[in-house]
Amino acid sequence: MPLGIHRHIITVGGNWDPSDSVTTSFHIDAADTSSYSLSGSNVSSITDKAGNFSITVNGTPTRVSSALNSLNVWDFSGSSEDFTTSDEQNVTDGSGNHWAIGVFLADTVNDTQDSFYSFENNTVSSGSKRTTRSAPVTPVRSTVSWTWTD
Amino acid sequence: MSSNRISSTIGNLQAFDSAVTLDAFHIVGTIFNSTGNQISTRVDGADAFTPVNDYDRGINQKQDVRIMRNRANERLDGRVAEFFVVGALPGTGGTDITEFQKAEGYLAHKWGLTGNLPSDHPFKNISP
Repeated sequence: MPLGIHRHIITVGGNWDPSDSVTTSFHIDAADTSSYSLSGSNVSSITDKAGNFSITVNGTPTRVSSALNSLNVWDFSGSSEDFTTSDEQNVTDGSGNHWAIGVFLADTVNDTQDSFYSFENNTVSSGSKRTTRSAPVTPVRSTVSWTWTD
Repeated sequence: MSSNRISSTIGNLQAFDSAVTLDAFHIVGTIFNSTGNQISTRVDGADAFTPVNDYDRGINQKQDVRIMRNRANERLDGRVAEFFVVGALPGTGGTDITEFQKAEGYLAHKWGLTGNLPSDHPFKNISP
């Protein structure tokens, strides 16, 4: 390098993205309006951005525009709305390694089994079932717990 | 006790140490680390309970996914911004969770929730 010329390499953050930094098995994103369809403000269909699952929209969850950091979110009433996959796909690496993460808000809680998300295998016998649910919020204690059954 | 437990130490229920406040967005995630023999749940970049080093049997590989709904028909009143699932280690091996922490940082910066993260979180002030 010629004298007097300095090369600076500056490393900055901001490159990590679930779409290319890890291999997701399931991914939904209310900010990505290309990944779901609306009928008015009601969510009518949604696509798994990981490309693995088919998702059924139950009830009429709504899109709320610019609700969090100027991004859209989805609202569920707690009565009949949910997103549930219509199929079962791999959510572990086969050895039991698995992680899941999201951004959620609990509004009104009326049951200890209220959950942000859950997983279930309906094809194995009940004695082999190892499934999970996350974050039921008890209405009395306002605590959150993590439950699984076997 | 059933011989098919995910974790004999935990059994069927693991309570969080403190409440998740209602009517506020939180970054919520769970880790099943078979390689590191550890189960943990994290809320807003911190452990919701002391990670349990007893992951006896892996969760089923094939499962369906339900959002704002438990395994039955109980549904939650609230909001969802983003959610994703990864079938892999949460870090470089053992009980390392650096990849999971990057996911926490990514979501915090994208959704304007960096204020939720603890001051010592590696991605509180910079995006991963």
